[in-house]
Formats: sequence, C-alpha cells, structure tokens
Amino acid sequence: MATDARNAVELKGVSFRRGERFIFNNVDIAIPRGKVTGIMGPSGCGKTTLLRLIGAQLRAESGEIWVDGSNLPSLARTELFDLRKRMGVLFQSGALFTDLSVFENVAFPLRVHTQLPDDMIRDIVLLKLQAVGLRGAIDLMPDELSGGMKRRVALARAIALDPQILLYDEPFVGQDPIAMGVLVRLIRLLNDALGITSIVVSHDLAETASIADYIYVVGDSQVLGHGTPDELMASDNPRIKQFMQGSPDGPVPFHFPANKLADDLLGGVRG
Amino acid sequence: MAQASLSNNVLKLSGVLDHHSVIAVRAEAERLLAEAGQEVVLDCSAIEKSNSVGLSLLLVLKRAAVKRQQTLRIEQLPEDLQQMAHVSEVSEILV
Repeated sequence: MATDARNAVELKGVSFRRGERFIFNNVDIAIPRGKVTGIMGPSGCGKTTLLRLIGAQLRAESGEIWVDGSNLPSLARTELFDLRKRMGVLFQSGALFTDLSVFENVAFPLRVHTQLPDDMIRDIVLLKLQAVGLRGAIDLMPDELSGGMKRRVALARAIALDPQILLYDEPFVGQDPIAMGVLVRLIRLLNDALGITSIVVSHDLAETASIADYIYVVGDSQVLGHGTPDELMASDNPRIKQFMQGSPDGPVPFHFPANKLADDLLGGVRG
Repeated sequence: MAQASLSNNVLKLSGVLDHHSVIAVRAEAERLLAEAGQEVVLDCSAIEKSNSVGLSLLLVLKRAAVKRQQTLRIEQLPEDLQQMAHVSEVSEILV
C-alpha cells in the first residue's frame, strides 16, 4: 500500500505483542511532515514501544511502518542503517556517554557516521551547542551538568547529523519548570526553523499540548483518539476526557482491580 | 553532486552540500580562493540543498580568507542555510 507523501511516518494496521498481551492491536497513526506530533497516554501504554517501532529497534508482528517513504519491514540492513541516520532520538535518560566530554558526546555521531575532518566537526559541534545554549559547557563532563543541561546536550547530539525526523522520548520528565520551558522552546524552534518532523512521546499534558500541532492519545493497545490539542480538550470521549483533564478516576479506574477492601482487612469476618 | 567555480573574483558554490559531497567541494573551493584576488564574493545562490556542513563550509572559507587577509563577502544564502544560521546564532558572522 502506498504512503501519503504529506506524512513523514505512517503506521498501518500495526500490531505488537509482549507475550500474550497486545501493546498495539491494529493501530493506524499518521505523523504529518514538518509538524510537532504528540503521542500521549498514561504510563505503560506503549508510547516508548511506539518510538522503538518507528526507529526499527523493534519489529511489529503485523502491519506496515512507513518512515520517509520506506516500509521498515521491507528494508535491507544497509537501507535501515541509512534511514536511521535521518532520524534523531532524544532518549528519556539523555543517554550521554559519561566518560566523554560534552564536546565528544555531540561529536560522536559525526565521527561514527561521517568522514568530516576535525575542524568541520568542531564547527558543527559548536553550532549545535550554541543552538541549545550550551556552547560554554563544551569542556564539561556529563556529571558536571544539571538534569536540564544533560537533556539539552543530548538534544544537540540528536541533531548533530541534521535529522529529518526527531523522536523525543518523555523529554519533560524530571525537569524543573525553567528547564521544561527551555525544552519546549527548543523543540518548537528546531521544528519550525529546520523543517524537522518532531514526534514527542509524553504524558506531560500541558507542555505537549502547548507545542504539538496534533496529538494521538493511545491506551488499551488502541488509538483512543487524535486531533489538535483544542479538539481533544473538547472531546466527549470519556477516556480522552479523563486523560486530557487529568481526572484520577474514570474509564481508567483509580483502583487496580482487587478484592473487596473489607474482605482483605477483615478476612470476611464482620463485627 | 556539488561544485565550486571561480570567475571574476566570484567564488560560486552549487549543488547539494551534504556530509559526503562537502569534502571534495571544500578542497576545490579552498584552492580557488587561493587563486582569487583581495576581495572575493562567495555566491551561494546555486546551492540546491544543504545542512550544517554547508554552514561549516562557509566558516572554513571565512577562516581561510582571514588567514590570507582576503575579504570574503557571502551573498544569496539559501533559505534553509539562513534558518540554520539563525538557530545557531551565526547570521552576523556569515555576511
């Protein structure tokens, strides 16, 4: 089946299981090119799994995953390697190399994937660090950085090869309000100025809704709904409503299924 | 495919500048710059597509010009390179 050129990524009828449990069951998702798309849902709903499927780190049980015009399951190893160079990933942990300086962390993908001479690698590292506001931290080691700074260095590394698609895995987790604000601004700036397609996997509603052009809400191995942030806020779907309004109880219950409280506490013996 | 050419002290870059093509173009552009006069225009109007290596190439040529005490004026920077320069806050250097 052909893919729509307006979309950078398309999942068609994708299913993925861990053991007997479906993480995704016949899911369709279209990520528009050049936009910021949020993938949202409660913790454990498979958002990171979705990123791994798009990054071809995991293989779907069935369905098609089109990335930049190529269906991942049909690609040879070398084609996959080339495609991955066009994708950047900002991992939840930052995943900086702890024994390498900030400079060497950002230079790493350039050294591995290109034959550029040292002076051009230095230029690009400086340009990327300047873009995230951390050129002055170039000689520091990761353990000398705050959590927010680590995330920004990781972002500089993720854009070192000028990816066309940038995947953000929970970029706002554990960040203070200022660091969050900086990240929100950077994601939007890089997307708009560099024409990158951004996929932001997150359960941080306010931040994601503030930058996303479009949002998919996933849960129960399905796409529960999708639309612009405003459309989802106004949704009548009780599951979407619960997630978007952050209600503790609703279709997704507050309590994990259990025996009756009295039975557990009193062993079935009532006074 | 990317190329560099020199005519009347106008050094022209053309084609697609990427991580592969930039190395050969750089060598050629540096050679041509050394042949050029005191005041050189770097014409970027024929760059079809580029990424950060394009910005680096411009910086490499700027540094080479400074070393030879030449004046290198960058003209007609394509939109994508302008945007990248803006994000990395080097627009004022690349003039």
